[in-house]
Amino acid sequence: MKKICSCLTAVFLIVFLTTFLLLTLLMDKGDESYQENRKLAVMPEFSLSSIADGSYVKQLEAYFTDRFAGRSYWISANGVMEANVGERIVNGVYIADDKMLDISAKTDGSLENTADFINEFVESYDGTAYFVAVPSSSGVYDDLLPEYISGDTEKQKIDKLYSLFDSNIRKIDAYNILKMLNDNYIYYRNDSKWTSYGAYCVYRTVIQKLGFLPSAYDKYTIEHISGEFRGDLYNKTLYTNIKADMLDIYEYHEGAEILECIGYNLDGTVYEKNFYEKSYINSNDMYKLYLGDEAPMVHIKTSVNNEKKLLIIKDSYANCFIPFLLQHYSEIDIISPESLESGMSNFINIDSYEQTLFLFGIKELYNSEFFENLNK
Amino acid sequence: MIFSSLTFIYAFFPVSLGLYHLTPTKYKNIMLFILSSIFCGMQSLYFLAFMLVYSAFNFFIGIAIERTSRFKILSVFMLLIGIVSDALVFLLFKSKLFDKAIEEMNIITLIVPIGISFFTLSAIGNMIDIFKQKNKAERNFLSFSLFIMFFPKLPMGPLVNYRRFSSMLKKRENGMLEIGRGMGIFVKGLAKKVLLADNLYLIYSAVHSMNVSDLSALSTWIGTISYMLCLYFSLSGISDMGIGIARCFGFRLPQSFNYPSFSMGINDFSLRWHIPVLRWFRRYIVRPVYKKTSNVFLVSISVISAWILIGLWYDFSLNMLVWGVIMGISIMIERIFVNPKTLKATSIFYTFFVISFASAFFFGDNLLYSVHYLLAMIGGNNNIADTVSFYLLKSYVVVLLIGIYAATDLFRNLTERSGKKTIKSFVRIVSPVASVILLAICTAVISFSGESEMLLLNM
Repeated sequence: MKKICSCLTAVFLIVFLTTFLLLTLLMDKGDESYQENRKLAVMPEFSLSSIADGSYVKQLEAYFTDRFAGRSYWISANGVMEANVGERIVNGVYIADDKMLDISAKTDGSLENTADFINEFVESYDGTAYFVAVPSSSGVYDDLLPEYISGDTEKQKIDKLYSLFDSNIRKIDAYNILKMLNDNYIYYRNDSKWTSYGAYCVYRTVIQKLGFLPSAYDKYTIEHISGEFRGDLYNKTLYTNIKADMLDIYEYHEGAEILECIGYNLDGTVYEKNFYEKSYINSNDMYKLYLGDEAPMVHIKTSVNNEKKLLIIKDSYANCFIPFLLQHYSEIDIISPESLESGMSNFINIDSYEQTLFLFGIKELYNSEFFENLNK
Repeated sequence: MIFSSLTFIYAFFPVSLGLYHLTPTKYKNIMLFILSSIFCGMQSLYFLAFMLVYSAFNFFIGIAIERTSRFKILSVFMLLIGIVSDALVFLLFKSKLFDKAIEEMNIITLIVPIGISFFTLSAIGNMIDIFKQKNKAERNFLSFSLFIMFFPKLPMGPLVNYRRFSSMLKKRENGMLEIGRGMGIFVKGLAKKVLLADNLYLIYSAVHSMNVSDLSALSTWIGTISYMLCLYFSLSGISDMGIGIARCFGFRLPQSFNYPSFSMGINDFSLRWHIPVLRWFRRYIVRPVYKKTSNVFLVSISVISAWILIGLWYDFSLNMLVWGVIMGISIMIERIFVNPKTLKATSIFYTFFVISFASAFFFGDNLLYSVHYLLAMIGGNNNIADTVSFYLLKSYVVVLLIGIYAATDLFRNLTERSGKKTIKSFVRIVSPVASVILLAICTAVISFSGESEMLLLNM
């Protein structure tokens, strides 16, 4: 019997291994992972030098891992296991009772460099620059995280960044506003970004600094576009035991309308853009509902009649923030440094704006290389 | 490529197994050589070249020692050249002594010598055996290079001496039975590494990430115990995987660990921890002195220096030197002063404490850290327990309990020594299915990043 059992072990395991090997090799998974919302590793190009230093095999391993049969099922099974046995940390995401929080320490870039680029920008700029650094959900809900998780809190990071800025940059404290309101639905449960409501709460302060009265909350009609949103934290864990999120659109029916919304390509050609891209609701990247695909620049003209122009330099945090600004400016130009590949001066002349608003998530600000193009 | 990666488990392993068993018996060793070369070459071709040169050098030195055996001085000289060069290569890669020189030679940085700790010992041991004429020098380069490069034992041993290895090269069993046993051991090792060691590492690194002066005594003990268990499951897990793979090819390699936790005495611990490695140091460093003299002082010196070398072998640092000194001295104290009739419970108790305190040097970043850590362990921070320690206990209670249970021999005793037929046969019948389930769980755990790296030491 001992022998039979050993042979059975061999047969079972060999069948198991070869089944998954063959499935991995034979199934075509395409180039993108729907669940994880990212591009998969590609087959490396064969070259003698990459074989010699081992990088070819490394990429081959990444290729195999990304296309491993049933990858998304394996990952979500792991999420369920780890959340129930052991610490509730899955692939760098902390799973609290009702939400997920990103705890992956990402400190490869430097805040100092970013601050230098922004200071340089402000030096050559005649108007007024405003800066909002937005914490992520793990910054606002850091009291839910295990105590030992070390490193600076996001508040400390924001304070540090602000202390590096020139004094003529108007710094706006979003952290304390959000922290105070953290009983409300101001952050998504499955994404590290703020909700439209979170953005609205900060908007009220920001718009006063910019010299306007904020629009009252009851002037808006809120349209629930989808209750099935799962964002970047879900993409990392594929963990579904947290309630899906709601995506809202705040409509101001009595107010100004959008007259035109134009997206720019990198080569300067333009196309008409939908301010809300509702077709993304049926995709794996629902957040693109706000402003659609990232473009290096978007130009918006509204029916507001005050000749005021605003320049916004931003990352994806601003996409659900911008709708609130429509009531105050007749023209808004939006620059995403992340998508710029050449200098910003190819698109706009900064001196034609009296006000510039920077709005970024604090994590994005570590990628200082994005900000280099602002001064070119 | 490492054993605990999807690419190895699901691609390299089954493919190499298939190729090996399709090869006619006569050419099986050549196939193993090709597979091992591919394994090294996948790390980088420079590493493969290095391994081939290294094998060739030791191969010829071995022959030279044997040829010159009639002229004692010449043969001693050859032996010294061999030992010194192998030791220098070891220091070149494992210590920081040559960092400046390496910076100027780019090519060395491209070689990541996995398993250098193990094949250095193998090579030196073999030369000494030839010198002492306990062994003949191998005249077949293929066989000798397999001794150095055989991929299942490359990353984490186990060490095996040449005579034993070459007899397996000449004759071994192949078949379904061996594959079944081997794969069972492989999966067990994989589970040790992926499920236990990696999770225990999280506890240890949580404690380690905090400022040492803020640690409560309970936290430090949780950290120490997790570290020791993690080290045990990493080393034994990876080595089990190697043993399992080798078994699939018909090689029976020795076990590396014999349930060292709850050892009765430090000497007992040293007989159960990393057995082939400690046996190597005993055989080549302590025993020669022991044979010549029974002078307590000289023997003590040899034991302590052997332990210092063991420490430096794990990691070439000042901390490990201190660890070696502590282990060596405690072993000598035990041998000389402790009555062999001491109660079992007492021995388990003091062994646990000595090894825990010593391990503060094993994982400390520097001596100062380790001393602070030791103070914290005995309550020097005026803080017995805090919320962090309770949080860690609460989060990891399952992992810790399973880890402690698996580190003892309770399960083996239950199945193999209980004498109850029913339990034995139950375990046997369940084991094929259990292996598949364990493999599936491990696959899920490594699916996100595709691998589970060696986290503690670079061997």
